[in-house]
Amino acid sequence: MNNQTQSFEKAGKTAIIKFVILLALSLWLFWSQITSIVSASLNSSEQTHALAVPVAILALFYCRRKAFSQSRVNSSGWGILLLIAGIILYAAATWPFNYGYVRDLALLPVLAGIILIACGGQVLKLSVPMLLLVILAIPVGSRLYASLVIRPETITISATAKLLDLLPGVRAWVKGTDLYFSTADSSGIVALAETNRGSRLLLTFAVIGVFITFSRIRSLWRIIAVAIAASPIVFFGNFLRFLSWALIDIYAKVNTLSDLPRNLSAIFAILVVYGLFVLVCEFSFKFLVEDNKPLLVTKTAENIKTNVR
Amino acid sequence: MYDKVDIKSLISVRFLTAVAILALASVWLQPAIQRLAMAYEKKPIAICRSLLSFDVSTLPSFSDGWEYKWLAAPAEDVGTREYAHIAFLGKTGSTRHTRAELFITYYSDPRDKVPHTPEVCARQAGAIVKKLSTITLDIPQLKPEYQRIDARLVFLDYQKFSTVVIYVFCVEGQFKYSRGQVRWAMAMPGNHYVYFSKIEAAVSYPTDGDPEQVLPLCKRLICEAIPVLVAEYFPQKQLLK
Repeated sequence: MNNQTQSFEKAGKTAIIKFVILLALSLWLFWSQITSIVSASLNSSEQTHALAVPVAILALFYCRRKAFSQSRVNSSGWGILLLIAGIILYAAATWPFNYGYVRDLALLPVLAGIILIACGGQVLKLSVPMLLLVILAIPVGSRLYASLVIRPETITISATAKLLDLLPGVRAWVKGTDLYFSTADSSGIVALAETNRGSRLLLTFAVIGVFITFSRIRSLWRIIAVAIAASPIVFFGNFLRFLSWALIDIYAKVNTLSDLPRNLSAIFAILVVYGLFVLVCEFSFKFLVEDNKPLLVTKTAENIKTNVR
Repeated sequence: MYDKVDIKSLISVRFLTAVAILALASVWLQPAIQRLAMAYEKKPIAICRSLLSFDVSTLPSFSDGWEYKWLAAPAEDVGTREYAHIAFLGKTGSTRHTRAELFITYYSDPRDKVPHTPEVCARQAGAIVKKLSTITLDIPQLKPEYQRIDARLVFLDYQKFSTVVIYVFCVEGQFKYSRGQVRWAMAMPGNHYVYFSKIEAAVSYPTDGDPEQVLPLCKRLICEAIPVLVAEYFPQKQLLK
């Protein structure tokens, strides 16, 4: 092992030690926020994805380990500024302003700051997807969420009602956030007693999207393409979830308050969203960009063709 | 061990500063914020006149040709005992059979939660939000800085009928149209006392009717109520200091 490799490894190990120390201190500072996120995740099916986020972060780190090990460790003073900004945001969102969501979000500049101080800009750039996952793990306040989802929820419920109405022998109509259905032998309300029933699991779908997109190092064009497609995929997934819930309610004739339709429709929608994100990430947009094509292989292939000719 | 880790980097000024900032924040931030919050906590201020005695005759357009009745709701649902919910029913002319409602709530506990707004809670009651926008109300009776105030305009469809709703919040004498603005204004230091109120006017019309026809009536109701509330019911700004 030469001296350069040795010093490279030494810097990497030191950066990890610094990162762990600073992370432990920031966990101490944000302990009440972290416990409230965990308890929200344990108590709400809408927020369960937050429990999978640490695993997803570790998995992403594993997928990008080569890039991380090759990146230059170069501590940056900007990290101190980010750290202070995060702490000020945390303090201000506690008093005089009392915004729980902003208080939780203050964790992000602090995390970005400690990455910059311990590891430097290159590592921070590679860590952006992990920070995105942290944002998505933070629960949005119920009142804020209820006001944000008015439009998508209204559209989802009315679109589902229109589609169900086309089915033979089914009549469906909307009253507020309730989707009523009636058939020759049954009637009821879809997703009865479920809060935000027409707009759930949006953050879960987004977590899946972020994870799939950044599980490989992709070109900027590919990331832009996924970012453009992300919202339609997330809302389509939500629509499929609600539609499949309605179909189970109508045709399986299970107890209206049973967990079965909720769980089945969620699994179905998650699988579809997963498939769609994989499709957008892996589909070859040859008309747009020549993506994921190693230049060396192409040239070699061209050489072989020329030689054959 | 020592040859595997860069000790110099571990005792660098940058790293030690970060450790010190985080450690100090972890130890001191919460207690410091709690002390500040206790020292500067705003106190409740009672309404000058109870809304339960709201005088309908002070609304010129609704004192003649309209029947009215007080509607009751559980105080736990409204979040306060200080509220007025009045339904008006047109008896003559073009407003015959028109139903209008005025709903005013007053909160003064700094820990009171800003209530849900119609576009959120009416959906739970079976309404579909058709349109949500902001409207400017001209109220010349108010002080010059509040003669033009922004309010929220919501069109709701209850299937059997539709409703135009205009609402606005009055926070410590300032007019705000969203919950976020209200929370922001309440949190701003400066005043010693705190209060906020939601003023909501609604007019119903047939589902196939034209909302633009009843909108002026809804505007008139809220524009006539606001100056009365500011002058006779809500605490004046100087009392909040």
